[in-house]
Amino acid sequence: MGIRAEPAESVLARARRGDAAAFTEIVALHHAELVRVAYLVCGDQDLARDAAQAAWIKAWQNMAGLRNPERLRPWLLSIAVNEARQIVRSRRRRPVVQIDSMVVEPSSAGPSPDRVDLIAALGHLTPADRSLLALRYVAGIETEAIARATGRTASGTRTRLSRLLARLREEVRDAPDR
Amino acid sequence: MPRIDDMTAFERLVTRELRDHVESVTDPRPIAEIAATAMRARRNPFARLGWAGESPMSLPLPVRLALVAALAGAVLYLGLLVGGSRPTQPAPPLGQNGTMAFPAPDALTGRSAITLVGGGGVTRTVTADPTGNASCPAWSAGGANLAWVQTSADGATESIVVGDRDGGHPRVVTTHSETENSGEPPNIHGLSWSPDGSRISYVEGPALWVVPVAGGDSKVVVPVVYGTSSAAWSPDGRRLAAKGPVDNDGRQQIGIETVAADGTDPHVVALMGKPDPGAYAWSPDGSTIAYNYGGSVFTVDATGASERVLVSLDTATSLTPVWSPDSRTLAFFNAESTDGDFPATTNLVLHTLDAPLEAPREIFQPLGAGIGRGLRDVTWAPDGKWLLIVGRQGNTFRVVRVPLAGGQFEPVAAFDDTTPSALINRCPVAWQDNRPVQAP
Repeated sequence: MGIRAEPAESVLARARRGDAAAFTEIVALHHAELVRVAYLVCGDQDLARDAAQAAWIKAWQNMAGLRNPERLRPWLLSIAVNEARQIVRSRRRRPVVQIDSMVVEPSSAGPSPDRVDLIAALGHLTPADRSLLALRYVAGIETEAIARATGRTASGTRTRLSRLLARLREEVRDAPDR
Repeated sequence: MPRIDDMTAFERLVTRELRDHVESVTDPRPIAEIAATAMRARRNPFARLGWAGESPMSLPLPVRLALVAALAGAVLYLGLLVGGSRPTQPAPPLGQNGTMAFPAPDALTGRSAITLVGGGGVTRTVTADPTGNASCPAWSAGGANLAWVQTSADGATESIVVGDRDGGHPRVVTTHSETENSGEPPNIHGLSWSPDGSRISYVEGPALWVVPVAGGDSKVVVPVVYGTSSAAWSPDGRRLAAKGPVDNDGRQQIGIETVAADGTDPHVVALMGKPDPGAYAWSPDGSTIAYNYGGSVFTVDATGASERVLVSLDTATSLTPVWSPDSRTLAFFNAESTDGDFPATTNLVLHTLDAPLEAPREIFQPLGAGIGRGLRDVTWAPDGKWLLIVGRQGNTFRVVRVPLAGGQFEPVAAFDDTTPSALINRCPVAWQDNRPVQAP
């Protein structure tokens, strides 16, 4: 017989009351994803980890206000991309790490040409645009939930996503042949 | 590769490629360490100021020294003269005595101390315990006294300390300890002086407390407040407004309630459908509370008897709506979206309370003044005829004077984003005879 998982509602309720074990459970469940979405925004692994850590600080401090377990994941992810954006902004002021150009890390197999095009095109977007892409396509969050978590309208978010996609498509299409 | 002319296929391609791109990114640290770091950060005094990076105290000593020197240098260069706090807000780090207070690492001890910056850039650091950390400074109305939170070296106790205007003669007015908190380290924040300077409200644990400054026990006045909200005193000092979970016919909702300063006579004045960071403020005449929720600005009778949406723009920023001195007009910021994209600019909006809802609002677009986005602060001149707004452009914060009778915006000051004013997002300019002035 498998172990019965504690309902998400109960873990969140305990974390909201300041239960460290419950909060650690939530971190265990979501941390890897927070790092991944943050990476898409800032393009640097160390900065992405910093952003995810900063997101957990905010989450712990503000968890008391969150009651609906369904909102937890979009909420956490939106905090993480915001932290990543802030880090990008602050690093721009103090150019310690070059993050403007999204460097494609070499892999043994080597990236496919269309992948290089797409990832290179990401570097031409603003951190805010990359945040939206991270939430929608890396995390797979529905537009309505993104709008709720970021305090924007669903229609505005849809419009923006559609323009972003159109722009990316143009960039990939216009990329010079290699 | 799918045909990228097909948008749905392209969407699938984007999803696959982006997920592949981030898949290998991991964090090698143990989860318990990550969680513990987040929970410990509640006691980092810099986190309370919205400090985004690591605690300056964890930096090497030479870097800390350079940081302090850079701050002091910037202050001396600008010769800051500060002032102009809002009459109905909790006393901000900018005192009406022309001195700014903020926590910064002490160059010698590496511990956080309260740094005071006065006119002419004179600085002084204050702490009641060089082995511990000082944070959360708050001026009394008029700036005669400074209160701050003093955390012991081991973090097991936190006290509210009150000193003179220069931080001298510090004395403890209340202490919370780990022992009385069932083993949880204390976390005092959100200090707010009563208008007459006789009491201080603060948040510790989930509750809002009030302590008499002259001596006496702290008392819980609201058992649970939302997030890290601090309370707002009514102008007559009789009541406090706080945001927290309130009962709505048996259902718990986030709302704003007012209570008498002794915790009796609670009144729910506003209910919110979901938690929202929007701020709230009493009108100077004490009759009305304005608050920001879900991008709209609401006003409500302070007794909760009536409520109306003052303006619904869907994009009003969460900055506290700021009352004019005559309690008739509210100033707030509104992020203007274009083409569904991120806000292109931020406007300053003025709305007069007794105007009908459909009446045109006065909207100022400070883009031409070089601060189109990132507006941070707005302050009314004492006569209500001018406003000062602080906005950011690149690495520079600019202060602009807005004549409400019409006319051009007038640049008043500019300061770099490493200065203390930038750190607390406040206006480094004082009013003198209703004219903004900056120290030479």
